[in-house]
Amino acid sequence: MELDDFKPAGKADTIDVKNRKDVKVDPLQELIAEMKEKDKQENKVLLGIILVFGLFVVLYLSGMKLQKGAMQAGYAMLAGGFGLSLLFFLFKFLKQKKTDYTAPTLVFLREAERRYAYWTWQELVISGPLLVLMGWGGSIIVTSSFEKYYPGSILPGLIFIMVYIVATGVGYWAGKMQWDKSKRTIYKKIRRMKDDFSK
Amino acid sequence: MNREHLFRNAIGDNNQRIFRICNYFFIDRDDRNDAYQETLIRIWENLHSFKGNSLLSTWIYRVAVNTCLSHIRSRNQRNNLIESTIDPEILLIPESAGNENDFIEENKMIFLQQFLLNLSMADRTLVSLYLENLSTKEMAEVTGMSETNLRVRIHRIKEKIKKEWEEKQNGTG
Repeated sequence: MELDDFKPAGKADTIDVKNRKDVKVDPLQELIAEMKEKDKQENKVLLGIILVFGLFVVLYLSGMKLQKGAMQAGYAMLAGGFGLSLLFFLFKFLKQKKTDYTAPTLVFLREAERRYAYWTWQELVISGPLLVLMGWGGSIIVTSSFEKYYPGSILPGLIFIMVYIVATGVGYWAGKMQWDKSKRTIYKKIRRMKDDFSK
Repeated sequence: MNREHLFRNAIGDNNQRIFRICNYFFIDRDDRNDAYQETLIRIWENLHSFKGNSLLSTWIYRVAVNTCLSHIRSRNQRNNLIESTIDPEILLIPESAGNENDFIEENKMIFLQQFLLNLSMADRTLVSLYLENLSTKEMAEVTGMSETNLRVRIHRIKEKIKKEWEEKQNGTG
């Protein structure tokens, strides 16, 4: 028996898909409703990101307007950091939303691998300077705020930086735990499939 | 031509193909039907991006394969052949399985399903496209693999299925 002997040879065309009770052949009505619901949910997430980050941008921009000298620079750095982070998350979100199912399978799997990775090196390269910018801005604000209690001391700024580094580390670790729970298995499956197609 | 009209035309001509592709990937009826529905959704979503650079059927195969693989990775694919979930109509087994020819046909198709289940995802994809009579060039367009690689892999699969069929017939498999 050869592989060719298993070809449907026209017989499969007699399958009456339209009259199968378990298959919805004309899904337009359901489809449009489903799409609308999906879009609504995705828009909610997007709106949430814009609101949270946008709020911080507005907050720090107002702070920048009200302050002078080093404090103003600190607020400007925070506003810039949050603004750029907002753009970064928007870009990441829109890219994730746009899965190209029409690409050749190998390309599709490579893209999926990138999408499901916890943080790609490109994302780390982008987010690293943003975190430094925000940390730096924050430490300037803290140092300036405590200037009257600790004149000329950089200790408050150093403490802030340490807390900031720990908080960033905890955030990364918590995100990783969540990723392990929800996406690691899928990610591993995608990698296996991609390797299989690349062999 | 509006989107709805395009969609209806695309599905009308390729409905059977989509259904068969899903069937090659899933033995479980619910999984297969979910993948089928999902493929239709992906076609609806992406129809505007079809530029006519390839045959519409090739483009649809690509969406169907990618959707099936996507569905597999998000669900726990059942590895065992579960008799109750096999759809005789899809296995192309005649309902009046009375004569010897029907019995041979049924055995053949069950063997194919078992064979497919033991293949890697890439090989299963290739078999499904091969059984759909796609040329090597079209298969390369769908999968993104090189034609040379495809030929080698198809050759190996052919050898394997032949060997396993013979073993089954001799009662050694």
